[in-house]
Amino acid sequence: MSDSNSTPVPLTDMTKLSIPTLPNAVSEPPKSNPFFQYLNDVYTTISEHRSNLNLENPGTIENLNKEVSRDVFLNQYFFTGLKADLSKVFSMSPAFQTSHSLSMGSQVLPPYAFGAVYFGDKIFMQGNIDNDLSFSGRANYGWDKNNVSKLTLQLVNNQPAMVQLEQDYQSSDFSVNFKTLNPSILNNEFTGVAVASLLQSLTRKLSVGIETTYSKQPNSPVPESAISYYTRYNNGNWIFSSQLLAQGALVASFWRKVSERVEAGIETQITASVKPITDNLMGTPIGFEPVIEGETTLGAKYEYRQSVFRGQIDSKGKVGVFMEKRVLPTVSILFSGEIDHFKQNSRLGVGLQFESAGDEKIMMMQQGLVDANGNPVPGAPQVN
Amino acid sequence: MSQITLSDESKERIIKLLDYARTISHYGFIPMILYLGWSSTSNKPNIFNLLSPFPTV
Repeated sequence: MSDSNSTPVPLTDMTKLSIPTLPNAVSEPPKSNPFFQYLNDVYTTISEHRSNLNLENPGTIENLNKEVSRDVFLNQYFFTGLKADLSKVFSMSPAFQTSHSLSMGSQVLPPYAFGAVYFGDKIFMQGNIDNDLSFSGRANYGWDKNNVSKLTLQLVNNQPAMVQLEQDYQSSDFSVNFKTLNPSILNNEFTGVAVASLLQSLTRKLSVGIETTYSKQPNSPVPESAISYYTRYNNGNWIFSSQLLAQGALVASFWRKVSERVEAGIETQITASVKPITDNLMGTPIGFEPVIEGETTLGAKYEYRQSVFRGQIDSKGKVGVFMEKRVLPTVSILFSGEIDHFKQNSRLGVGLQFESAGDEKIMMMQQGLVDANGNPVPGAPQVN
Repeated sequence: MSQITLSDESKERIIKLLDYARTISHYGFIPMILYLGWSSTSNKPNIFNLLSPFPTV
């Protein structure tokens, strides 16, 4: 037993046994095939070079100017008339909540809608159905942290269905996205819309992207295709992005974090289109003229502990505001207003948001009595 | 683009299947979310509590 070779190797350390059939024991790939060895070397060199660039994922083309058009501007938030949202949280992780929305005097919002959201580790599902039984829903499934499949549905009675299938792949330095809208092969060929896009980081801050669209409608004789180009420069506290869209539009937007609670954004859109010229006397078309139109919107967002203010002004004479203020831990009031100075009209919306709970712990969290782990918040009144 | 030919019979069958799928997703999608969510809650609320907008604790 004095021979050191005979000491038993622990079973957990099988790799040290250096048995050639074990995968971890092979320190170098076999050099039998010089061609594959060469390919392997090239691949390794490229991937090493790529990782040396320290690039980050550039985000997606969908979110290219998210900071401006979705966070700062009112587009997502503006509403008219009266509305009340009653949401009820049942669980925080995975997130599950239902909502009842009531609305009056709006052209867009239905009088009543019921919605449900579930957000688990892999599955995200959201559905909405209104009093006309119009349904819209989204479902995402994450295969791993880079790959997500998405389904978007819009079903309205007596109207054609809208189905969108999407596949997102986000790598360490690029994002690709494939999507198709209403795909069908029932007309003896592919009909519908197919879109492929790629956004690639070139440096840590700059990324460029391209998107191609192919569209064939069942009743149109020829398919259409188009290419759009994108670029985004993210410098941390400011972001510039521009889009050259295939339908003849150039969109440039700039976002800046002014201070910790204030963000500002500006977006300029230049659209070139062809407009038919009609004869003054006869009213018949006699030709076409190119039209170039531009529009600039400037907006700001102030975010405080209990309230969010958004305001924007655009070159078409519209001034809009949106305000959201939490008056109680579970009640917020919303106000949105817009004045069109050139057309001399205005729009107004007032709303209330209630949050309730289907669970005692969540109710205490909403009231600010306990934190997310169920521990009492210091300074809060004691409850039994 | 190459032609994809389907016989009228199979076309009809596919259209019928898609119609069923449409109806199922139209009325089954939200119950499915409610079931997924319900099964993940700790207190398993009943259907009335699940659908009522008022706090039920």
